[in-house]
Amino acid sequence: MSYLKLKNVVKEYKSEAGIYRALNNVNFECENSEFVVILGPSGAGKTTLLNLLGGMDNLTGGEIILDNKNISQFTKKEMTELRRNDIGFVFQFYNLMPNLTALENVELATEISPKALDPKKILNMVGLKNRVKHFPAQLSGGEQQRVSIARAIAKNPKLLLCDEPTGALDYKTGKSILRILYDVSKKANKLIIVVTHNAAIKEMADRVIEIKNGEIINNYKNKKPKRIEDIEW
Amino acid sequence: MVKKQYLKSTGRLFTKHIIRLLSIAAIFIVSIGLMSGLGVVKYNVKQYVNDVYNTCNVHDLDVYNFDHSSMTGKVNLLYKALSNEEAKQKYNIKDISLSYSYDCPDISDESNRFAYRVISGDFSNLDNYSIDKLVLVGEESKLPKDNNQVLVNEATNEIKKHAIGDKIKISLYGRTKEVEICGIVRNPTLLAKAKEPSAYFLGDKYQYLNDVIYYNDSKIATEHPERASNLKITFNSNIRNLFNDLSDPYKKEIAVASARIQDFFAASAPEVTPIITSLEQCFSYNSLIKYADKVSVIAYIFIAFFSFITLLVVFSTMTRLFDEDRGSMAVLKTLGYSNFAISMRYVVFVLIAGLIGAFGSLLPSVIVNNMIIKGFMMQYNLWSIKVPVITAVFAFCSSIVLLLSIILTVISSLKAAAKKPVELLTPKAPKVGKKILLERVKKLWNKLSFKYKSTCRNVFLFKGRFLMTFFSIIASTVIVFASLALFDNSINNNTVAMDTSALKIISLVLLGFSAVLCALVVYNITNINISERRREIATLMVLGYRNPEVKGYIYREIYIMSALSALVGLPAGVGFVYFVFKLMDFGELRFINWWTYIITPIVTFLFAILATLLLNRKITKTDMNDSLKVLE
Repeated sequence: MSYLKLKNVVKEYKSEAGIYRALNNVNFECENSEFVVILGPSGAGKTTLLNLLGGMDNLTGGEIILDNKNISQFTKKEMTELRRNDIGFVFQFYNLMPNLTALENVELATEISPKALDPKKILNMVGLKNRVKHFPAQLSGGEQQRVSIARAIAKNPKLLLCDEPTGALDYKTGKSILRILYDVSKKANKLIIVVTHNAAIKEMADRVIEIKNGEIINNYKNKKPKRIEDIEW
Repeated sequence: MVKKQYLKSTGRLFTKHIIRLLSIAAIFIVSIGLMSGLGVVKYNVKQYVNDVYNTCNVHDLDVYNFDHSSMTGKVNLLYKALSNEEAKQKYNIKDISLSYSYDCPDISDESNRFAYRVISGDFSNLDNYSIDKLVLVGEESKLPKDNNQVLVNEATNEIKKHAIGDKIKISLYGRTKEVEICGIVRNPTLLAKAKEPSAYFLGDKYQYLNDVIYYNDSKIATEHPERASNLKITFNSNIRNLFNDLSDPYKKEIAVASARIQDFFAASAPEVTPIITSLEQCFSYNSLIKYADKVSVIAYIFIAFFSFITLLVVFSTMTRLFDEDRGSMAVLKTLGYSNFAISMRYVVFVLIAGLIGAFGSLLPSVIVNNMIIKGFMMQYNLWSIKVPVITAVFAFCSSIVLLLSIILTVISSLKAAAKKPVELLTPKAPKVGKKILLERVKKLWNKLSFKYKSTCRNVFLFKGRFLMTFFSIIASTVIVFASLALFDNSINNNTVAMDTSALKIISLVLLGFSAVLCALVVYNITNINISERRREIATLMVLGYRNPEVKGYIYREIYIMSALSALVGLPAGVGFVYFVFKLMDFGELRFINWWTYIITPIVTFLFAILATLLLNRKITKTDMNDSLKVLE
């Protein structure tokens, strides 16, 4: 039973230069508790896909079904509610509010989420028990990203989207972040999709989807996903 | 010398920040408009007074007998003494003339406050009057043919409203006569419409003139010389050329000349007790000039406030502009452009905003000027007063404001451009969040909802900005309060010779401009805030915050700051008004209505809110992808 299903998804952008087809008949399915990596070079359509999955933009054609709900042609208001309740987002540059502590940054999200989890518990889970009262400027890059992850998880969403989560981090820290994300997908039973151009990460994924020029060129399950600690790049 | 890419990047600077440029221009329009409209009033009046003095040959001295109300002036004796060439030369006199006037109580008016003046003479030919020339006004006006026809004074008639052809009864040296009004004249020494003091003042009765009748009696000089009431004297041009709106040199000369003539009278006509008055004692001129002076004091004060707010806003806007533009500055620097070339772009930015503002301010300044002059004209007959479009005051105000803005921009832009490229390329270190003082009051802090905690922190995090907003809104509140206090004063005050409706108009104009300035300032600040926090706004939207919640996140700070500043501005406004009113003899402060104290912060706050509401779309239009983009 697929938790997330994309059927013939098409996304076109209109501009003075004409119509640009960013996504061309994208089809794939993901199951709950999967750790999915979407891989592709710059300009492949990753951001577009993120926008659609994250409820930030409408499709031109096709369907997206999340947990048996068709989220393809939502109004702006419905999309806001979708993002509010069902989507968790982890940004490449963390995007924490500079004047709120780590705990308050997570509360920022849980305050508006009806089925939110306890912020302190989640921060604990990502290993920030002793840093909850610190401001982002007092945290390292890795710690900030963990706050960002905590913020996304605490919402208790159906789907966790991560946009180049290790892009701004050093090698070692990046690995630890991916470890946390993987653990969350298994322990909290969450579908996590990581969008990246770093091909090495695909070995740790349950499912790998490769995208190029707006089309899916590869889509397979990893029978034996490698532990992130064992992957080098 | 100027390269193509440099021009292109400068052009982009303009298009990217066009709203900012226009809002600075709008602030210039409002400030310069008000400043020059207000400030030029004194010069309008001064110009008018000089014009009239010269074209109507207004007297320099007016001599009358102590008992002015009586019908036997004895002033003819003084005239005789002075009307020879020898005396005239000795006392530097150009011309002298006699006037036959007396005031009598207007018993038809129930309030017993008014008297009317009857001036007798040969009015069939106005050329007879070389001093204080009269001018016939209106197409229907005719000069009297016989002694059954009279002329009336234009100023007082604006209120009395006689029509040509009306028949009225006047008291004529003891007997009553019915006469017909055949024309209206302008008298350069009787400009006040309602407050010209009468000579028949009896205790608290018959205080003002409500009518001036010119009775045509060509034989009065020969048949009743004793009825001469006023001797008018004009001096030669060496004294008259000093007039210049009752300047000090003129007043000095007049005082000297007057003393000499006083001595002469004492010697040659001892039975008369002459009172020698100059234009300083002429109510029309005296009160008009004083009124204009008071308006100009109000003007200077408002000019100071508006300039302060304008420069503060311009400075802060440009400083934040430099921060946003760090990237472009760095690129130009690494390409080898000089600091001067880089900073020039911003100077041109301010210059263009300033030029738009200056030209745009011509219209409001003319409107303000017109409105205030109209207020004056409710009380005075200012028939030839000119309201020019481009005035010296406008040129002065706009050049000073522009010059100071440009200087500020030059200094701060050079400072910004002088930074090393590497410093400019790295994004500005985000401000470290800090715990604020309020947090230590745990009891209060814990009671605050999460939203307000974050707002409080934000407000205090950017102290510089907070202070700038704070002071701008306080200054706006002060001038709003001052305008309302002036309005109250106009209704309640009896002591100052200023017309109620005129003061009301002035205060409403000031109120309008103050409120609009406040709105513009808040708009500008909020606009910049939203631009700078695009990322935060986008993040909130991605997190699923609804539009009202996103707006609240940004606006809460502004609302709290505005409310705070408005409340602090209130006592500041009270202190300010107290000081100004004392300075201008406006009377006590207790006449300010209690609801003025409440309306003031409300007005300030409302206009601030109005400004933020205009920016709703800017917030909701934010592209969520802004949160995904690379940190610039």
